[in-house]
Amino acid sequence: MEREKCDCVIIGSGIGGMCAAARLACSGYKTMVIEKLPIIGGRYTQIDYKGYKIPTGAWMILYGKNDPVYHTLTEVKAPGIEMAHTGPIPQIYRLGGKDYEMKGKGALRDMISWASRDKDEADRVVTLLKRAMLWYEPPDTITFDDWLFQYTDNKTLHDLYQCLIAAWCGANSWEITAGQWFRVLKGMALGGNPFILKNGVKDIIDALEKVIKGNKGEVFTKTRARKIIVEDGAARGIIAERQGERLEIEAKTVISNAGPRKTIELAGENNFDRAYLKEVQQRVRPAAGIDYMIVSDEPMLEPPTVLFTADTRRLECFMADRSPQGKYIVRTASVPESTVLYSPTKEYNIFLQDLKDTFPNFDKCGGKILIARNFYDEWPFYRSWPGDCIGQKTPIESLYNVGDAVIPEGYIGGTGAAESARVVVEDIQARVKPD
Amino acid sequence: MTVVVEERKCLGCAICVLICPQDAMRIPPSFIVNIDKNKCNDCRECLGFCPVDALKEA
Repeated sequence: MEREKCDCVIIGSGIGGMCAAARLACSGYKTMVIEKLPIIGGRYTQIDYKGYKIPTGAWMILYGKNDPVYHTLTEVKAPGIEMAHTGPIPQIYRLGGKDYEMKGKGALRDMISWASRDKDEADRVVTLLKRAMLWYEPPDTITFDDWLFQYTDNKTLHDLYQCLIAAWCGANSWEITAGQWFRVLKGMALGGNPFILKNGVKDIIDALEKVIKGNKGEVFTKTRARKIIVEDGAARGIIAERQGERLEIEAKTVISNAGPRKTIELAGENNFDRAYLKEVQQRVRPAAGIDYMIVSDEPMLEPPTVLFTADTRRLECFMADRSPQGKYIVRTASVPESTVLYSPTKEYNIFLQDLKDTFPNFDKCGGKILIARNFYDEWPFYRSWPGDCIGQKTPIESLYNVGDAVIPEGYIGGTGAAESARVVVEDIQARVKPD
Repeated sequence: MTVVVEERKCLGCAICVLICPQDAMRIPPSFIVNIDKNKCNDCRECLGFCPVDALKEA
């Protein structure tokens, strides 16, 4: 058996794990990342396929230059990344048979006015939403949709919120609680303009890897965690498997980027208190759905536009980009009616109809579906519904989770995973000194 | 030896489709990956890439 020793070992090389590792390595901690797959990045990279860069998950830097991912790169002095566009990404909402571009300051307010039947309704709804943001946060005992029905049955307004919620949270407005949504909204208010990268999100993962390796850290691929070593209620390291060989890594701190359920499995259920197990069971619930990469010779939607469609059978979010070889690519997330239980086959057939309705020029543009994928269960859009995450610390001392199941309030997806890493590293720096 | 799909585990995430050097994998509307046995040359590259360990040697 091989043996290694370090300050911090990180299981999984997703954006949470890589941000944590880069921050730790940069501040003098001997850091090791292990990744079971042959590539690093998890759901935050891309794979070249037939000349297209296909993201494994993340696509956009949601909070722009105010994004924890972007902050991390700056703070660890990572090599620069190149944006695909200057200026904000146009966001178009197709609802009530019309297109509306959400633009500039006070855009949401303008949009509510646009979707309302009259001025009275607009004023009433804006006031209620303001109160929910600034005064009394609605509880988690009611879904957002039901909460809004107390004040209006205007379908266009409900559709507007379904657009926002399903696109940002990966769950429907009738699934997310009112409290969850307002917590996400408060965070979004702090974000900058979202952007996409010229060479895709892999640039970010590569930049972080460079920082880790440049600071005496290591990243092992094809290395699978088999066990988190727990002694006297504290984590002492891990046992991994690398090319059939056992590898023991002794560490002062263990960070898991493999998801809380996997963390529990690796450390042994008996080492956790029951309340924690129950919390994970109830709250770590993936945001799921189907994702399509559509390519065309002519643009169906001008890059880098985002189009939300509420008039279709499902809520769809179409994101346009250029492909390296001068073609066009539209990525689509289609959110099932129930993100907990759905038939992918049924959803696929529904999507084909939606696609035809949204882009009557589909055939004329030379459009085709390059790939359809299901994001679900252990490979989800988000590991937990945004606004409903658990904490980063576990009942086992020196064992943390990072990633999109343990996002601090107000963040989403990769953005939140990077923020969870920042919080964890700050805690480690206060508790343990590097060797 | 040949690669088979454990249907119960496959989510249809398509990572194997993206990395297969032979372009032998497809995600049909069932969202359980389909391996074209005529194209697959048993390079087994896909085995290590499956995030949910749904691909096995048989």
